[in-house]
Amino acid sequence: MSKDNVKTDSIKNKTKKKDGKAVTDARAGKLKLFSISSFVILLITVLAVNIIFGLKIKNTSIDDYLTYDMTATGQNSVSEVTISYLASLPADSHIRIVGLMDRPVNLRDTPYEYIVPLLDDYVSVSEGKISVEYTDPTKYPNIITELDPNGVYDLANFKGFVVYSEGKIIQIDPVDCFTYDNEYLQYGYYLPLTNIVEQKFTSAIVNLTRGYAYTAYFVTGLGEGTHDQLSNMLASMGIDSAEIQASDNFTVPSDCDLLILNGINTDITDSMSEAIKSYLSGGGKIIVAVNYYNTNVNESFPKLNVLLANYNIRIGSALVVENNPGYQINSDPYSSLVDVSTDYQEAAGTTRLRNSYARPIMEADTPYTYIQVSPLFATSSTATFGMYDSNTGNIVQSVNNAQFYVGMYSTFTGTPTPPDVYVFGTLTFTSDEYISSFGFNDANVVFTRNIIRGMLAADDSVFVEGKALSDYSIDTQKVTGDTVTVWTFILVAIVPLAFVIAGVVVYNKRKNL
Amino acid sequence: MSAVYKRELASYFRSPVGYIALALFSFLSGFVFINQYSNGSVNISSEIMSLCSFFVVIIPVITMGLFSEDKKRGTEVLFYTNPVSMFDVVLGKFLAAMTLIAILFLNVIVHMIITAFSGGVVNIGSWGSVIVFFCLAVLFTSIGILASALTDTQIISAIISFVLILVIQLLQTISTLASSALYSLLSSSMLSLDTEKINTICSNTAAAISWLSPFSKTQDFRYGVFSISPLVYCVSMALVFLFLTYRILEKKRWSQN
Amino acid sequence: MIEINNLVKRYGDIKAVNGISFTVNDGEVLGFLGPNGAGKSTTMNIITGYLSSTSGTVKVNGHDILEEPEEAKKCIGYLPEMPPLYFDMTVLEYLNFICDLKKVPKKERKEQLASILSMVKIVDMADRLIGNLSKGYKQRVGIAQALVGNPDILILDEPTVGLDPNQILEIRKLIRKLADKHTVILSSHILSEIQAVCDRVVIINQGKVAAIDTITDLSSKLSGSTKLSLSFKGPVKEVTNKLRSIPGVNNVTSIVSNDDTSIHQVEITADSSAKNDVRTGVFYAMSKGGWPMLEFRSMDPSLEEIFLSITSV
Repeated sequence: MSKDNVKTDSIKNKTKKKDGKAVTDARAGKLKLFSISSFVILLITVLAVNIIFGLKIKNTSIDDYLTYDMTATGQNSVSEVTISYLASLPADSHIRIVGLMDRPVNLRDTPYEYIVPLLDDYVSVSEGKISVEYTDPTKYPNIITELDPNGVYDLANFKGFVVYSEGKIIQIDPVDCFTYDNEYLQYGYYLPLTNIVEQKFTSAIVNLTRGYAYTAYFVTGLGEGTHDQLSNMLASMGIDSAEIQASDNFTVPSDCDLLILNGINTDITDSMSEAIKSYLSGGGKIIVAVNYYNTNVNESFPKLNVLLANYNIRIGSALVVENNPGYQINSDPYSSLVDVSTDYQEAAGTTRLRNSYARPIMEADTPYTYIQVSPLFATSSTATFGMYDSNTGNIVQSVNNAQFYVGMYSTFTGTPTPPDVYVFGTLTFTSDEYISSFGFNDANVVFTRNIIRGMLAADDSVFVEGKALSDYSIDTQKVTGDTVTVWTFILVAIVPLAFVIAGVVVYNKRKNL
Repeated sequence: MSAVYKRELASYFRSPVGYIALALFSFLSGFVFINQYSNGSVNISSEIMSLCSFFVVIIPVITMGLFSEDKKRGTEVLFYTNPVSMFDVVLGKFLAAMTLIAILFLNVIVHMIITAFSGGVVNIGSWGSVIVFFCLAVLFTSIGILASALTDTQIISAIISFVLILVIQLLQTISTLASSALYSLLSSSMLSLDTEKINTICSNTAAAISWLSPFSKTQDFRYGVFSISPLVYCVSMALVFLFLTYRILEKKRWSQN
Repeated sequence: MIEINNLVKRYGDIKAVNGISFTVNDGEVLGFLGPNGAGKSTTMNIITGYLSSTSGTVKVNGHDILEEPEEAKKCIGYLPEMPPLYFDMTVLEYLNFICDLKKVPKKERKEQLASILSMVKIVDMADRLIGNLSKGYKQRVGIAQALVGNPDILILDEPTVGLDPNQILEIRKLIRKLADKHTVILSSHILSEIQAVCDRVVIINQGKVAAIDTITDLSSKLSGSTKLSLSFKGPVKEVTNKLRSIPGVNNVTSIVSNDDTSIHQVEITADSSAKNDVRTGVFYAMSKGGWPMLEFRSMDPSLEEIFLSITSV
């Protein structure tokens, strides 16, 4: 029946109140009240429950307790190392982590997706010692003078995180919180491989609260690559990183605990050679790493070799070619495995490490017996020299097979302050490219860390290892082009079509029932 | 409840609707999957997240007829005059729609199996995404059901749920827009509030709006970090919408209009 | 038994049902008569629990529809004006769904459905799609739906509306058959239908009960005067005078008059309490005068006339 009819036909039944408004009767009114109030009560209860879940009391909420990090590597959870360090801090410590931005919300596929949740976890495990805040300096300019009253750090142009404790700060750029695939980096793509967010923040916290124990100087201006990852590693060991520009009036700063020539492509100067020599004679420590690659095939480092001759080490100007297929990596004679000398196998944790485009490192035949040289790594006995022929663009190999060393260590005996000299003929121990690609847990990198710790007695007890981000690639051996074609055909064409056909069949069958 | 559930679920497969939804979803998900698969890298989480953004189309199609058709055909009388609770009816229809969504999701399970057999990664984050998928499905389906109870035209019901789900998907953007709009409004107004205060108001408004977003609440699941409160949020909000649907249907009994 | 007490349903300012009270006894067939919009469907919707009344009570077998809706609804099978059918289901699928809805135990289901199908004569249609059935069959499926669960009371709202005469007869026959086992409330706006099927009738108009009576009493009330329609060929004045002279005829009025063809139609108001049926008198008078009778029939009183007569009594 239609209500319209009721209305027109029963117009005479109209009962109007004096004010002309529709009459609401007791029963309908009661039901209406019940309906609305039950809904409102439910809504308020639900909202209240949800708000209570997220409510922060003393910087933690119920939600924090009911959050479980199920990832194998605990991407978004602070590790035990950090937690125990934080617990060891005095109860009244206060570390501020300030994000110089509004709290990022769309975390997906940004560096913040691993930073923001982790920082929240820092807060919840720190027992109030750490606070995290997000303040956009364009809205609150005061924050900059608050963190950096002397204007040393140019925070106004810094869009990242500042860790602050008792007047000292350390800046952390979100982009630096990951290591990236070097191959992709060359094309301008940042393909993150490892998540070192916790390593960065924990190092910063440790170094702010404990202070740096040592300072390492990187020599710059010799065509070398970047050294961000090595600096990260040093920072996590309580070693501050600084740079000295190569120049004619080069001096090694007096606070230098470790001098690093990381992947230089041009030779040092005479004055540098002298300065470094006198630094080392006072018990200095140096790491030199060079390789034989595009930019330096014509560089034979004569002055560096003069310096190193004092320690009975010489860097050859040729390429180590590994001819033993059992040592080659992916059948590449220029990237191969090297045997670790027995004395260093403990530091390496393994018997073989990687090298790539290596120069041979040899003894310089300096006849002083107080010099103690020990080889670090050796190729197989069927390796050869290779020289780049600039006319043909080919590598011309020497004829004789031999075993070559690609790393050496030298020190003196009988002096109270012996030098420590490490020379690597390959960059697979120190370069950003290598550490980025293979991560901090790679055996080569662990080796570097261990020898540095051996030299400086550095404390890396609060070292947080990088967390490998999931590698989603599938096995290309199993998935050939044909497999992809077959699955494409099945998933995009056959299956949907089958459902369409099933639908048509069922429709037609039922239509005529 | 089971009567309504059984009928509605079967009705998806008696009419072409269920098959079309299946064909559409298997095509979409297959396309997204193959896109990754052919590039040699399959992230199930991001496949599921892309599929979540199709909810805005899929859910209205699935839910649009649930109550509106009953109203149009007069079959709703059955629910009012038979000894069943109207809430059971709402729940039955809701579960039927959820079951269809679960059946659609079997496609993704197949993709997971293919990935696993191809040496790819199906990790805890993938399962986290599965949970997110169903959480969002629960929330959006309840909204779709509410929309279908508001009208007796399928198309209008579909439009209402489309708009509502779209708004929820865009809550993040809306919160940013609202806060900047409020900022310009307050700073130009004659209230002459100081900047600090305006900033606090604006950021609180933005936070309040984005607090409502189920997407921001559940975004950590795909990385394998599970928390209870987003689940509570989605399920309890769904309950609110279902209860509202129930009350709206009951309104017909006592309404004097 | 259904007790309806002072039922009121208000829509905004309008009272669709305004204080209806009556009782339906077990086993009887009650006709619910009234013009479109009189409040029949609203009343039935309230009895079945579809709508809640503004005030007043409905008790079904002692269960108040608002306080114990589940108990009350179990006793009722309802066929609304528009049968609640899913056109995309087959008859059997649909009835099975209704069984689920009414929680008919699985064991009894097959037997019950078989007896219902044969009772409403849709056994052959069991596997047909409801959407493909004719209107009459759809109505039968609607009735079958109401019968599921063996309710004591059947409420059928305009069960014959929109059907062709054959189908109407079939449905009426079916309702009579159902009356053996069920209490039936049947609404209609056609008097003859009510007369054909019901024991008792409630006449409502504008939301109020105009009369409650048994069919026989109502007939006698209504049979105070009979109207007859007569078409003939002949002189209108002469015939009229002749007819008036027949004993029992109270009045004769001309309805259609055509002098060219001399075909006329008149309406005869007769006193039906007369012992002699005026119809024989009319016949003899006409044949005596040699005026051919082209059509002669009794005119059923319209509902409006019934209401007029009832309210004027």
